[in-house]
Amino acid sequence: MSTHTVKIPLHLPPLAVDKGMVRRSGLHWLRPNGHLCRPGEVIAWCHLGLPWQRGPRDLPFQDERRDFQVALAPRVGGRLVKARGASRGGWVDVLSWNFTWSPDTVIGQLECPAEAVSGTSENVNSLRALLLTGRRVTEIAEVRGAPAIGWHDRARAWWGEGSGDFGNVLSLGICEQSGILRGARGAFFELFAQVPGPAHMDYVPDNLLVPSAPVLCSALQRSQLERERIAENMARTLAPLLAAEAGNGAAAVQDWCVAGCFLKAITQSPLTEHHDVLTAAGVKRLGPCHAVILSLSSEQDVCLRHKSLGYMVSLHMYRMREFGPALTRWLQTEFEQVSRSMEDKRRDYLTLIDMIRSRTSAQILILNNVSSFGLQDIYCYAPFDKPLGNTLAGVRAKELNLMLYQLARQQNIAVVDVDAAAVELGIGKHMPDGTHASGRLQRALRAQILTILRERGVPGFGSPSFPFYKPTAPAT
Amino acid sequence: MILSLSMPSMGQQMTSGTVTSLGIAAGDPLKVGSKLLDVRVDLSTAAPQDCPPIFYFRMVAREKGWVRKVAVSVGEEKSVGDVLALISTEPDEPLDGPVVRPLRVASAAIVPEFEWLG
Repeated sequence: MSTHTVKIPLHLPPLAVDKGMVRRSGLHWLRPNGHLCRPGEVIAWCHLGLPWQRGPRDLPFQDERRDFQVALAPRVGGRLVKARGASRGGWVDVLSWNFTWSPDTVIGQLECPAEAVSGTSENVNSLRALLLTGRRVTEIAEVRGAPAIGWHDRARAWWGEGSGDFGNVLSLGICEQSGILRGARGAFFELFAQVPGPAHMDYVPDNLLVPSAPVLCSALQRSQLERERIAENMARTLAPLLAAEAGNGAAAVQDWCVAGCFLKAITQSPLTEHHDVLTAAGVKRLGPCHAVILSLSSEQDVCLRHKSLGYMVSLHMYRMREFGPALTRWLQTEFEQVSRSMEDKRRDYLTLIDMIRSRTSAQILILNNVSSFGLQDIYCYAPFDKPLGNTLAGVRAKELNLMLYQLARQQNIAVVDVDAAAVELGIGKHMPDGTHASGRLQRALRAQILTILRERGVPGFGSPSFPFYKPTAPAT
Repeated sequence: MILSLSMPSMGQQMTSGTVTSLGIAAGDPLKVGSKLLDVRVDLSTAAPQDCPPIFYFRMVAREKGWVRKVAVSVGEEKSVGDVLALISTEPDEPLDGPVVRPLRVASAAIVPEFEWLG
């Protein structure tokens, strides 16, 4: 029986701004000619240029204008035929002013069976636009060449279309969330392939500050005056130390860079930042987050508290080891170590949950800890110092997970069970160093998170029956 | 009978470990459950990267004996398989005989100390 094939022209979707035109670079193709595309599979991307004027920081995309991209996905499945000239290579495909964005532009076509498109209410000729942007830690941190890649203190993605409430989710965890939510390329493709939209994800990395509960609470409560005092204090106490080390080579220069990053991070509060999105209907500002995703691994046993100003800081030990003498001395003299017991961590979570819920009705998801460790061989617990939770890492992790589960029952938060998922798939193969998950484990955790978001009614991320992504060949 | 205590492999990527604490000295009697030593493993020594996986583990004895020789000191790095100590089942037996087998030990990941700066 022959199948009637239709050829669908793939148009750029509409994107609207209030004034001026949206511009773009040439295309970067992610799939070869002849590739069999799935609906929602990203096949190409380009840089976007939005009309912009220098102005206050709270204007849309003020801090994100230089790293703005769009990834394009067909609405139906079919075989890809690329249009000639859509990609020209070199700087033409990097600089965003080379072309005008227009829904009349056809970048290729899709050959598919007629029955694949008959009966669908969607405009199958118009590609779906996954918008991507990131806020640079410093404006001069120029990193190009791949979507959503850069030295960013936040990276965002959203489908620029759809009706209904615009779902808004904030990721505030350690590096474990990076692969789960941002996927293999760091561009959120795998996540959004399974999300109908309209939906937005904001990923805040833990590059400098670890987003533990006391740090997030401290940031939420910080006033503008307090931010200014922090900056003034750093100028008065840290700057002389940096100046004294000025002739001492690379370590001193590094400390200047880190100090700038520190000041920027400490004066920001991801939980209160606004999210602007560019859509087919124009630019809009989203409401408060519908969900916040945290990591139990962020809750360190020791935090740092500024001795005079009282603000809290959590830093990864491996980052602190790279600090030069000036920054090290500054931390040692200006901060005190604050040890946190299990009860302290539980109380800090309660405080954070209360603060979040006083501002939003966001669902709270927390990834738990892996509590099994490779090749350890415990035949009996008697030889180990009591309490066991203070001695054995596995017992400590299990106690923390139990605290989290109790908190989840009492506070109606959701636990993303990294521990169970890792054990089911096999820690030796899928988390060999005990920290960094394989792609397959990340896929399982992504599915867990999406299930929780859907079951808890977070808009835009699909109903509980929305299908999950099954990967095929990797992108070329 | 001469038994050996060697640096174990606690993970696929582990090539060495640094002893951070010693619970034994030559001449000590060894009881079941005696703490032998604590080891710090930094997997990024093989391939430096951000977010290095660092873990600590403790070895404890699962059988009795006598510590006859300790071949490692605190702060020293040893490769997987290096002999760390020799134990004998009798207190005075000569050490010039062959090592019959490894000492039976238990190893467990432990909670690390906060490594403050400097």
